Amino acid sequence: MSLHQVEMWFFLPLMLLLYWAGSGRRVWQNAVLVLGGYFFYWTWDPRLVWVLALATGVDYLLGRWMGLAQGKPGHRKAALGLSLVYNLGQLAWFKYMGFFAHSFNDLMQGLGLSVSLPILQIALPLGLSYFTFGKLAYTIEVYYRRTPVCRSLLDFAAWVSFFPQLTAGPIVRPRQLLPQLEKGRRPHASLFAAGARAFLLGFLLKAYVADWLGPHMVAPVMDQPEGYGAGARWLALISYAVQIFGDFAGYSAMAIGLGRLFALELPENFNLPFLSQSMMEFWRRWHITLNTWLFDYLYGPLTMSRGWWRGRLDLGFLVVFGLCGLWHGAAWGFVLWGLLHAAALVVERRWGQFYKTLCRKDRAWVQRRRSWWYATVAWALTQLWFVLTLVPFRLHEPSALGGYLWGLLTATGDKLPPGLEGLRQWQHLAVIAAFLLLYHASERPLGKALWERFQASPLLLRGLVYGLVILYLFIFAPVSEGTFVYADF
Amino acid sequence: MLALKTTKKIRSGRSLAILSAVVCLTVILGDVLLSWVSPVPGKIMEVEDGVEMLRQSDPDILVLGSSHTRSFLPMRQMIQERSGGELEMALVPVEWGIFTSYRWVLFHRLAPLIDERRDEEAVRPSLKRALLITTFYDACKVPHIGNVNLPARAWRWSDFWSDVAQSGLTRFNRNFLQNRWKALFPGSVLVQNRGHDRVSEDLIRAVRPLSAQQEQENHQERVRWATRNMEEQFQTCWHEPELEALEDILAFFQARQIEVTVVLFPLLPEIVSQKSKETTLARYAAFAHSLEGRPYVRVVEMTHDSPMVDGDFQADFDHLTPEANPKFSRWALENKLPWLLEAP
Repeated sequence: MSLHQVEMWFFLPLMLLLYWAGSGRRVWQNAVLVLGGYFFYWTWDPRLVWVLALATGVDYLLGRWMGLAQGKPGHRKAALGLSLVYNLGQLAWFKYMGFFAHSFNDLMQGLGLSVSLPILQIALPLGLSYFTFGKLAYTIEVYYRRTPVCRSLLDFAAWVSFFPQLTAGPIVRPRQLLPQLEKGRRPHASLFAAGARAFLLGFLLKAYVADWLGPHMVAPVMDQPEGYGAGARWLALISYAVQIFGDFAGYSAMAIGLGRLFALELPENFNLPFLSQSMMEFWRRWHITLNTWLFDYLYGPLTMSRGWWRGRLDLGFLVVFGLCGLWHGAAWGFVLWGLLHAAALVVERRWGQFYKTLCRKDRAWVQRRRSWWYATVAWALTQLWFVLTLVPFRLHEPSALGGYLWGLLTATGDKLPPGLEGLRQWQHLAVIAAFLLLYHASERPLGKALWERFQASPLLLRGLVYGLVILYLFIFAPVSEGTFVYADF
Repeated sequence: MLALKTTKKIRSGRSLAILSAVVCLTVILGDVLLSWVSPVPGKIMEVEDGVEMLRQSDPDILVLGSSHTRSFLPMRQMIQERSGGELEMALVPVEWGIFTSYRWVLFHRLAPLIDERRDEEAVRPSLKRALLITTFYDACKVPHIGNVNLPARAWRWSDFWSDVAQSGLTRFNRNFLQNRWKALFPGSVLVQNRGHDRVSEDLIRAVRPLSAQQEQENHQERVRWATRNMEEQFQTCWHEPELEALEDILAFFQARQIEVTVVLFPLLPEIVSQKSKETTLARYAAFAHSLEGRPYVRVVEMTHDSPMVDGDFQADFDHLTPEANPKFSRWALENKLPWLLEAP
């Protein structure tokens, strides 16, 4: 089941009806969420529902064990160890077994050895990476006593299987959702209104921006770049950046919106990443829940540990972002993408240190850093790097990757992507560009003021605007393939 | 991100209700206004209607096939009148169908009714003849269509759930839900046309109508495209699974001693080139005629020799207009299928 597809219009009203029939009753509401979540999962692949059920049961029991083993550090450590082994093992089996076997076989072939591992065809359970990271956060937090043990299996299962975040996040920490699930919820008008607005925003990003750009601007050029000049290739690459943003930020906004319709608040996952002026800022704005997870549970413990790793910040970046790349998918292209981001963070950190020495010598450097041109250059470099790293993110074959990058500089050709053919296509491009500008302008003072004025305007005006947006989507949003790019990760 | 933040501007359920009502009214009003520019297509006869027609009757003749089957609706009336109510016909049109779709409909939706027995007695003993309405297109390998029409046009909820239980929600079975969703809003142009670009095209034409010359050029371009398409389908319109499905359909009727007539439906003369006649159409016709001589099988060729002219076809270059259907039915009944009025 997909959040923006037709099935949601059958499923959601039924869920809301059942859920709010038990308003304020925790057990009823959580039972509805669990049943709905498992039904949602079942419609994706009926054969793999057990993966979700088993994963939920294992971490619930390990959490309870940790709770019962107060004063027995050995037991608590064993429980945490089991959780790590189970969750990472599950991830490795379903997601990476084929990748490692392929890589091993390629290596052996390269060395001229006739050793090979069997390649198993294993279906990847939906949202595995997301709920695995969520549950790992739970056992780690319980181990360090930052989160109380969840005593109710129903609450725990409702958290893990909450359907809006099941497909593609956000990665919800236990402390973000479990306390909300541990009490009954009552409907609230402002939450419903904000939920519907967030869902509409997400739908617009996914079903219009991403789903129009994909087939009209991105896929034709990036899949078969022959005949396209450097300009068309740059345009396709920039469009891909916007597509993937629309796809994933759109999904996240829809998930947040749906969460609010159930009076549950999910964490923000995107915060205008195209405004970032450094890669560090970028990662505070892009896939926020994954980034904070990696920094809290991997980078922090690694670089602040007592051992050899302590203080090796650059190496920490390489390891964490290499794994971040691997988290996105079992392909070396993703790993390269992660490492390129790590390299940028290393360069940025070193540049920051160097700049500090300049500032200490001459305070004029402080002013320079605050100037508009410094911000512009920093913004352009950050965005350029992000866009360029998307080439290995999409094209995993080394020859295709190299060819595309080289073509960005040298390709000649007069083919145009379908999105530039005809006035009607230009209309979509213009609307998408205007929408993205407005969307990002909402963070600037003028944009904030305008948004506030709109929010304070009469209900009739607001209703009319929302209605017109829905009308536009009905007429122009293409009926898509029904998948989210990030649902595959 | 501001647009995601909750605000206190909507404090009460009343405010929310007013806001929701204004949104709904805007959308409904927009829908009504747009339906003036781009009218909702009228309801057409579908598999479900055909199944119901069969369920309610004990027909002598069953007409199964693609959407062209609907052109036989006036013939149903004519047969009833001319036989003095003695003969009855039931029609099951499978929109966007190919042979595998007809087989599915026959085996899953029609067979239980054809074979239905009550107290050891056949409920519909009169069925002695069947017409299978086809064109060369029914033997095509159409990867982007496949038999995707089935969930949308022929499935019941039980078919949908059993498919979901087997393979989850897929692009294929989602078509069932799409159609159910559309059925909930039959009068809404926004729901009916979503994803088809029809509303935007009609809007543009309403604002900036095409000149007669542009209309003519567009028409010629479409004719060229359709002609080329038919010529090129020589490559793809010979798909073994479709031919096997046809064999299964014939075997089904033969096993029940029901005479089946394979009808090659007329094509729009304007798009049939000499090259198509010699390639795509010739091969299909030869194949169809090779079926003649089998027990309980007849073949009736109407592709080129019907009195249907270009103006009798709809703008989709495929279907006859509602006005042309009686003309077709009359001609077919009198010239090509006169034995339908005789006792089997």
